Amino acid sequence: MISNRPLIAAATKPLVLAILRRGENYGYQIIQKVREISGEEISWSEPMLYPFLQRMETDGLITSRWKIADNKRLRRYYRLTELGLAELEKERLHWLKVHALFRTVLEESR
Amino acid sequence: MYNLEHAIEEWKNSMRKKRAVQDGDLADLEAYVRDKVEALAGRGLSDEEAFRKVEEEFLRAEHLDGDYHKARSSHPGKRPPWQAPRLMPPLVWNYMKIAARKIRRQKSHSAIAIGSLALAMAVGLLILVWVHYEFSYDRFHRSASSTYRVLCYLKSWKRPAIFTPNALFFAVKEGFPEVRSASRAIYAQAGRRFESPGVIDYKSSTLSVDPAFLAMFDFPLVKGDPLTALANPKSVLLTESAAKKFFGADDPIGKILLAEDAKIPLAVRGVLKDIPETSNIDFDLMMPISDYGLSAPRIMKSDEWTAMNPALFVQLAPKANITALESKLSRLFDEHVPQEEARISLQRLTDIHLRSIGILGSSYLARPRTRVSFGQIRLFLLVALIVLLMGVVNYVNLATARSLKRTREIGVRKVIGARKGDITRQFLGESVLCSIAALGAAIVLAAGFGLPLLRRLSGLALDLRLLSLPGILPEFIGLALVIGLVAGLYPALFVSSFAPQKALKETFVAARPSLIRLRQALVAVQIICSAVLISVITVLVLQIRYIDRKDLGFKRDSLLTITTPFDKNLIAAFKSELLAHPSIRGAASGFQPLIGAGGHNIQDKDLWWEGKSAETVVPMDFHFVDEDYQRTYGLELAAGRFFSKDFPADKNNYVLNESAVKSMGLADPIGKRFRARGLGGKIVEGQIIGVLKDFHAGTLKARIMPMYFVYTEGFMGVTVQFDPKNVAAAIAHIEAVGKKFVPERPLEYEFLDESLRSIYRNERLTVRILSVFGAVSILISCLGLFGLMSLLTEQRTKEIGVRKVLGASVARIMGFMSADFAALIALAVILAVPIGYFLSARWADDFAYRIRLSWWIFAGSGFLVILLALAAVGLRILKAARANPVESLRYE
Repeated sequence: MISNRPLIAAATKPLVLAILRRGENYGYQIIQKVREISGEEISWSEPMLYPFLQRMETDGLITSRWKIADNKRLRRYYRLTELGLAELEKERLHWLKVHALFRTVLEESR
Repeated sequence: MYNLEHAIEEWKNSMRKKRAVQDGDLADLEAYVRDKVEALAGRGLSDEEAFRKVEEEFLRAEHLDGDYHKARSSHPGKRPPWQAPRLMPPLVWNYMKIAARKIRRQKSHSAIAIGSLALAMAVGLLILVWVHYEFSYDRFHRSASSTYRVLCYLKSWKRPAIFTPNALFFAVKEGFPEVRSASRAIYAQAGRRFESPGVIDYKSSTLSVDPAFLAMFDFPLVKGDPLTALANPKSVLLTESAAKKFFGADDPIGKILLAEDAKIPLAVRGVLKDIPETSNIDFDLMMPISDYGLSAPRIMKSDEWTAMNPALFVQLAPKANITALESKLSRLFDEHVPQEEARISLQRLTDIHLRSIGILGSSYLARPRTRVSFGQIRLFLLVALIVLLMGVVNYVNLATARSLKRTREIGVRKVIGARKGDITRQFLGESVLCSIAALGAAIVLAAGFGLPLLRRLSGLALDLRLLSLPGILPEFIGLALVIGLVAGLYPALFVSSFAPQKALKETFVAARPSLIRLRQALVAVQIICSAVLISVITVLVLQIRYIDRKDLGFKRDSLLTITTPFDKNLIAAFKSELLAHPSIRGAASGFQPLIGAGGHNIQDKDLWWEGKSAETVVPMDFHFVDEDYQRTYGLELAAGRFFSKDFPADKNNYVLNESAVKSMGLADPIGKRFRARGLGGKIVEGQIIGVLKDFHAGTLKARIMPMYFVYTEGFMGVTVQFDPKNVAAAIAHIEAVGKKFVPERPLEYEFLDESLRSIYRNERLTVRILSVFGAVSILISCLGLFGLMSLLTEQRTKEIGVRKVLGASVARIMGFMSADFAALIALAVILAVPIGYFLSARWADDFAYRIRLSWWIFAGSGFLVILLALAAVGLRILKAARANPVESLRYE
């Protein structure tokens, strides 16, 4: 379990963006996906994700629309925007760079 | 039946109160809640359990509201308008006002809390000043950190010594690149005669050094050139005071100082600034080392490996490897003197003052003042720390107890919008403020009472000006902050967690069991500390009293020893003139006075006696004495007789002490043959004519040594026995006779009882200082108990009233109120006894002759502590118990 909170906070945006690239989704599903994929390594303080999604919408990275699901439940679905896609690419490069740098340093020190 | 819909509706209502959560957000969150509950229910949880779990998530997410606000705001960093700022300046004033009001309302509690903290801090401050003083020794030399004293350990000495072979200096100077400069130093105590026009003086000590000395050490010259001042033989440098003594206001440079009966003229080449008090090297005159012998010049040859004489100081290059140098020097020494297995070590200049115990000759270069050992400093620091801790404990105890009475204030603050952090900060701030106030009071206490007292006790020129040293004040302000924070932390966290509705309803919240346990533990620690201190101090005091009263085997009163040396051919005449006056009862001469630690030489290889077996080794002290010695000192004979003028053969005869007879294994010593080194190192064989009963010539720390006495007439140490009823006349007579025999200098003498007392100066100092600390610690813990008790009785005012109305007597009330404390105090004292025993036994073990550590010492001091503590507790309860129940019941 990763318990480094600043690290999780930093990873939240790229993760959400990456999940939404696969298609429209709603809050609870996003949380479930992350939990599933990470093998429960990453667990967010769950209600806190909602204001975060709101922030991303304000920043224009995602848009949302309301949908009534089969069980008559009203849900807000989020979708990636162009800006969001670009942001995801930027984030991806950043993380890869950090990852590469990290690996090089580790190998050098071996 | 659990209604999930109802629960969700209620939850929604509570969420609607959050200002930034909009309807859309709520719908979004509701979907989340329903999804999650469904998922959890799928895993077998009931609706109720599942919803509880989800609800908890929202309770934990306390910043949700703020986060929604930030998510929509164009300035995400800004605080939402409905949240109180972290610090509201207008409130600070209110905090201060409330704090001041609380202090005013609860004068006695505040006084006890702040006062005992101040008292404890004053003790800490004093000790810190002292420690700084002791550690400041020799640090005024700019190169102090690279300067070392060479110590030499020889097999025959069994301990390191400051004396080094003369040749080592030359070897070190040339063959070792890591040694930058080196200087020998030979110290001669006051006693030599120095004369300038119109002034004759015997009270100047001299230090003979190499020219490099002035460059290695910071003894600055006021006049003269440091490079040439010591270059020529027969020159001398004076300290400013010495210059004033010999030449008054005149410029001494170029003037002549006559040494040793006017035979040797020394040219004054410079004036040194007076030696600072924190210098271990102390002298009045400085001379080139070539003049060391003065009238008996000694050539200090550069290949002299066996004559151990000067102390050697070296200054090393930066980054020199000290251990390597030490072993190189040891090897060099071994090559020249293989049989000694010498080990050379280097002692930092700055370690000399505190870490020289056990080093041979260390006292001889040092200032003759109270020397404090590192162990003593550590002890004082420990005790000061304990006292400080007790002050802090009082503060914490009273602060937690007091904070229970502030529930209404906290309730109101919380209702108005204060968060937990605000209240924590308020209480911590208050606590730090109090602790800084206590520091202020402590500085006043320390400067006004503590320092003068400590100065008187220790005889050191301690000064609060030491505080201006940049290190110590920040240290203490830091300490005040830390104490404030530590002392305030528990009350602050405790108080800030009060639920507002409860806090508003009740005047006080009953203390939690954990708080009560903490408080009890703290009180117990306090009492243990006090009881340990008291029992240790009692043992110390009893031991010192034992020393003062113990029969040492000789008379200690009405004796004085004359320390002025003079011509030994005149001794007989001097003695008979002294005895001419009726107030003088006796006079004896000997090589040195009877008492004095470490002044006696020890012999064993030249000893022989009738019936000695080959393997017996008896190291012995010896004394050169005349025939009046035994009578003057009041020594008792166990057998035989003492030396007498009527027996010319006594010149070769011996008197032994009982210990000697015992360790030699002689059954009937009188008349046996005995051979030993006598006067001038000659081996003399004679008869044993008498045995003296054992007496304590040294300290009570050492066992009585076997001793033999050699008969010699006319040695220069004269001991006079005077009539105690006629002291003034006796002294006047002694001085008059002295004037006749040594006209040019006043006679110097010491009273034997005073010299005896000075042997234990250090122990006395320890006892006195610990007694002061002990008194302070008891005072602090009693104050603490009193304060705590008064808060507790206040809380139980109504209970006491009810019990009284129902017929309880004052005694009953006293009983039930103090029961808890009495048990606690007794337990603490019981725990303290073994600690006290262990510590005092360790101290007393230094003494070969000591008091028995009987149980009553510890029982007594424990009882004393119990008595004092119960008095503090009882006094307060008595007041509450005797109050009129009508008023107690109306209370609140």
